Amino acid sequence: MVQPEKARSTLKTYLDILVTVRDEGRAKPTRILQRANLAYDRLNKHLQELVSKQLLDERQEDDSRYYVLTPKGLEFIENVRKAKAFVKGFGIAL
Amino acid sequence: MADTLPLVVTFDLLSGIIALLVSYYAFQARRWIESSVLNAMSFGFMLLGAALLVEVVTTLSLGITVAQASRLRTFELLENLAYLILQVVALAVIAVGYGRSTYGKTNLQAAAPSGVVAYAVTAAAKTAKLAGLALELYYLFLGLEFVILLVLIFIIFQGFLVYSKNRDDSSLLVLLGFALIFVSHAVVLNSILAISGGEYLVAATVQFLGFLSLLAFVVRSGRVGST
Repeated sequence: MVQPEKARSTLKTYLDILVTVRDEGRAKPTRILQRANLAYDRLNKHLQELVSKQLLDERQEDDSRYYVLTPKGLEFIENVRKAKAFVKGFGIAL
Repeated sequence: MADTLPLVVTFDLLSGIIALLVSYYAFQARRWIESSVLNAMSFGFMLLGAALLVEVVTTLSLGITVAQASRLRTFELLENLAYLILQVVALAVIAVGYGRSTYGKTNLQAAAPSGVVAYAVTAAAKTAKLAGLALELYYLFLGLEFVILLVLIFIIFQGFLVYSKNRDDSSLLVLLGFALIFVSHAVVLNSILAISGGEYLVAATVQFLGFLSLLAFVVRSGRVGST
């Protein structure tokens, strides 16, 4: 009955990645990949987008790369959750 | 009647402010979630808020509610007409938006609650008091209120479908809000049919309770987001 919209899936993927990074404190791509359940190429694409939007910060330590949430990213999570709760009342699901 | 006007104005004003708040919240949500439903909600509630504020101005300037407007003969009737037309458009926009959020497409039923029809027949005799332009406007106001009720039936049906699917408190608060607004308009229709306007305080109170339910929904949405 409830109609899903195409834009939702990208937004939900963003949210899953950001929440994973928030919960982990700092997260390596492999960890995000596991928790957000994404293919590697898609994950890299989304991570680049989130870094370019300044929602995530990419850092390098030794040979490994990891991500941390920016204040803007934390604000994004809160705002999307509020919006999600609001639209749920009208029958829209992410 | 005059002693109830301050209460009516207060309830309408608060209802209008809440409607504008819901509109603002829908507008804010649009920044994060692109959805035609949110566009409709934002625009619809903005119109609804504007309609209620027009009603407040009308009530204050004329010292009379929309239910009694058929007694007026001057251009001041246009203010009441603007209120009703804004309500019709606002609710129609919300109904379209709400309808889009569900697969269940329904047709508006032309049938009115039988009690209302029966009452309309008995009240017809009372319209004999009115003549000419006043009578035409009486039927126009009656018709617009009737359209508002039909649109609200559609909205409530959509709300019921959403709640049946979600079983979520937010959906229930939205459904309850629109149900109370429907009851309020039913009371207004009854008041117009009776050419009394006496029940308008009851209508304004019930409508305010409906908007309080929508306010509770908005507050709840904000709290969920903060957790």
